[in-house]
Amino acid sequence: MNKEEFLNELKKGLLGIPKEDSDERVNFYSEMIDDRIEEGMSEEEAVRAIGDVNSIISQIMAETPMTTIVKERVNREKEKKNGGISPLALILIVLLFPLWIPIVAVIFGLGIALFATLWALVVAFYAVTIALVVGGAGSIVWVLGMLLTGHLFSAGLGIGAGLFCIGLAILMVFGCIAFTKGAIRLTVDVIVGIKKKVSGKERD
Amino acid sequence: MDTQMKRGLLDVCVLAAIQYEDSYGYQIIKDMKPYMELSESTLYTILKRLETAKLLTVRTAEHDGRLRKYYRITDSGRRRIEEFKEDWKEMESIYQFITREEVGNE
Repeated sequence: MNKEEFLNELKKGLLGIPKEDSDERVNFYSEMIDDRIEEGMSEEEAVRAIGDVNSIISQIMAETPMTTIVKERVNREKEKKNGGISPLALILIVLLFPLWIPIVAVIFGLGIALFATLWALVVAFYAVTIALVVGGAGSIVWVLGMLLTGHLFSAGLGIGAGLFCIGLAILMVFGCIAFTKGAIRLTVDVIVGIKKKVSGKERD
Repeated sequence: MDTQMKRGLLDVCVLAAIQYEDSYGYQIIKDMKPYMELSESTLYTILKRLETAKLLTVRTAEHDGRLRKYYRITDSGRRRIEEFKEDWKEMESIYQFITREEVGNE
């Protein structure tokens, strides 16, 4: 194996590590071979003295952290992808600018509207509950008034209405708690989902 | 030998190889040959580590129509060698303790 073959093999084997690192290593071995040739060895001898190229590659790959390799891989994939669609995609994105901005705005607006509706419903639930409590309390005052003035039939009606209001209010309290919990969970889920989507896009 | 210990020892050896004058990769390997066999890959890793730790500096110079990298020790690099000598003295006394002969009791 001559110097050029050795260095080419090395370069090929080190595709998985960052380019600067790989270039630096290839230069290092090139210098080592040249120095041996300068000392009087033949090219073949000098290459042999360096050792087996495959075990050198394995050693370098073993020393390189897994994260570096993964990062390099991802970067290369990204470059590949960008290289393929970039010019056309860029032109489309720019040309269709007046079109996709309103679309994004509408989707965003719809999302906000859905959340506003959800939380408005939660507020409405609480309002109804409070109204029922107030209504129940009002009925009791009314019943007292009717009893004092001797209108027994009205008082009976008032007791019925009051009990109905209070009973419904108690049920509504449970409904409110469940509904609020659900709304909070849904909101958190949606926010987490958006975060994942964004970080995923950055990583790809 | 314990890898951590060996690594530290190799670092100091390479620093010692450039302590009196600047040197280059192959020369370092040759200088160390009588004491220990050092592969190119291992040397590269050590030089990189020492450079990152600012214990040596690297310059590229032309030699015979090609480029060669020369390594120069820094003040921190010299300090590292001194530290190693101090550590060695300490090790030596520990070694004395470990290998001492049993006294009396015969």
